[in-house]
Amino acid sequence: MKIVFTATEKGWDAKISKRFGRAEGFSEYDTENKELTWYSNQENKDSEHGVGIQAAQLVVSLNPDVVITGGNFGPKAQQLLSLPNIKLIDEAGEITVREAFQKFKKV
Amino acid sequence: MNEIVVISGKGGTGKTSITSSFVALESQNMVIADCDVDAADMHLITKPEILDQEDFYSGKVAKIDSDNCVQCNQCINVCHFNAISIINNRYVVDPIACEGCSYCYKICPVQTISMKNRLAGEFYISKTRFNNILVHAKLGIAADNSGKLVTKVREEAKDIADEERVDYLLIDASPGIGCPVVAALTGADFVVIVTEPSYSGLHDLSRVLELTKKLKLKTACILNKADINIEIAGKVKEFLNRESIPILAELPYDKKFTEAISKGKTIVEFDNGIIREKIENAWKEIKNKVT
Amino acid sequence: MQVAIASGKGGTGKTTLSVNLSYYLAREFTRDGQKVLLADLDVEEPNSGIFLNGDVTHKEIKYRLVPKWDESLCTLCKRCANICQYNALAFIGISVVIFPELCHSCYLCSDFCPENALPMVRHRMGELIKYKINDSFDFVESRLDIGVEQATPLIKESKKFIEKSKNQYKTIILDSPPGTSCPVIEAVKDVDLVILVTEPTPFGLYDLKLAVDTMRELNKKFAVVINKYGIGNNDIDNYCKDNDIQIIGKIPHMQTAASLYSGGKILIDKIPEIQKEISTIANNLQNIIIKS
Repeated sequence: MKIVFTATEKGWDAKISKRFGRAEGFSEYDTENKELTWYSNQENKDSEHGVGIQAAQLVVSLNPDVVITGGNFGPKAQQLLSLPNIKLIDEAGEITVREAFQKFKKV
Repeated sequence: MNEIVVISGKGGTGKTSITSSFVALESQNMVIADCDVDAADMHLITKPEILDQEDFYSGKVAKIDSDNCVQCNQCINVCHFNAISIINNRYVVDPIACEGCSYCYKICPVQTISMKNRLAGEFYISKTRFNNILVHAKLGIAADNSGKLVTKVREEAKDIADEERVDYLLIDASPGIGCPVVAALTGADFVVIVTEPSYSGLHDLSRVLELTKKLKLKTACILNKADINIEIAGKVKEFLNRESIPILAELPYDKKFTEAISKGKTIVEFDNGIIREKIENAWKEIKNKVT
Repeated sequence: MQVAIASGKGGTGKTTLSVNLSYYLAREFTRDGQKVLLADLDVEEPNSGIFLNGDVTHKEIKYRLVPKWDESLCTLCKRCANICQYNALAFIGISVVIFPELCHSCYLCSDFCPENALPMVRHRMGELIKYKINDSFDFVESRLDIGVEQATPLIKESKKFIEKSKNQYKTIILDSPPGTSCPVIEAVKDVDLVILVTEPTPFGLYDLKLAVDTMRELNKKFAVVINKYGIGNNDIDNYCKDNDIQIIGKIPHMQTAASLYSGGKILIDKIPEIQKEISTIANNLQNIIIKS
């Protein structure tokens, strides 16, 4: 299974980002090979229109099963992410990627 | 930290008078975002000292280097914004009409068109005379108020509010229901609509309310100039009651509002009577409702 | 003659002036079947209609063109999503999703699609209604649908509609949206004169300066009307004098006006002082137009 977290920087101890479209980047955890990979969102983050759309395209291309963010997915991002049937978890709060993963494992 | 947005359906309802009063009342425990970037007035009353300033770029604009232009006319043919014309035998882009789609840039056979970043305004972080931080901006002439500048003002203010650990982020939104308003409202904890008892006020109030309902935001209302038309004030109240929107205050039509503005003061600094009391109570109630 | 009525900020009396001036011009400055047209182009919050009663003579839904994805033709080359400057197209898995509210109708994706899989189709943005108020006065109102984010395309379409019947009217008054951004630019484009409405307060002055800068940038001929004259201070008078800006009218501040306005009433029928000032503005307008 692949889980994607919105994050402020790379690594397990980074904070979960409260924004989706304007998140600094995305950490992807693959439960098969137990690797955490970082994808920067810098290029999308600063564009003027449709940041959520750009970010959603990046995330969907990673083919995840679950996406977790600290705040809300925007309406446009949410529309796109739900097309390939990805499980979306929002309002995770101000916690680290590690804490978010622990919390997620319990549900 | 709580995000409170003050908004009005139409202009001239006294939104800035009321917002600036909240600023004066709460002082240091607040960061303010003036998201009404089209007509940012908050600084006229809060007289801020600018701490930081930067240019704001948004979107692109086409530029033709006429030295290499072969005058094939393809750019003019493909532009759906009529932004390219021939002046003194040269092909020229009207930067006001150009929407930056880059069609001309893509089609030019001799690659003599380039896409430049568009300077869309200025962005400021300031300290007001009430010692709180005000984030504001000035949109350039003919710039597209796409919501990007509003989002930037709002997010920058939010970051500062988080860093400074203040309890309130106060957002002054522009009137209307378009994208700058949506950008200002998204994610708010509480929305205060300032309205007046006129048919246009009532009409615009219902449009704004439709929007806050759609975004599922907690909303209350301040009825300003409540006594200019008792009959319509009744209709506004009836409407709000039906929609289950509480009224935080009913303020009288009073020339003190204009006098205060003319002296560069907030109404709560200028008036010590009933107006001040009502605004103070409204602010207290807002604080109770968000926590 | 086409005159746009604009202001840097809302609530200065743009609609009051538009409605009362149009009404007055229709009553006093028309003869032998001449007519006046008022068009409310403040499409986000059209309010002129509140003051006017008439019969609907025409109604149309307004559309603009946006691409539509034809799945059967698409080869998933992604060129459209890469080329769009507004991120209005997204490429998700094996489908293209289009966001009409972000699209500027530039045709780039549609024309560059090698398979013609993105034809441009109509997309509803609002409604235009034309009313007959009386024999010498017509009124057009354009209204943006809730949730539609771009006002400029609807203003552009409404102006095209007005342009078609332009010759029927002696005077056309355009109630413009407030501010200095794209919708205003579109509204004042091609008019003979812009009237900037302001009020004598520091807010009014600041917003007037922004509006004046905009008109100068656009090379537009403009003049100022001060509303609620008598409150606040003389800073507007002084500013206009120092900058050679003509003030063509000063509508006095009266609480009865605020009260009548709030009830959706035409002011010139009820308040002689305001009728007098509207008549001054109307005469000044004629003089400016004759001169140019």
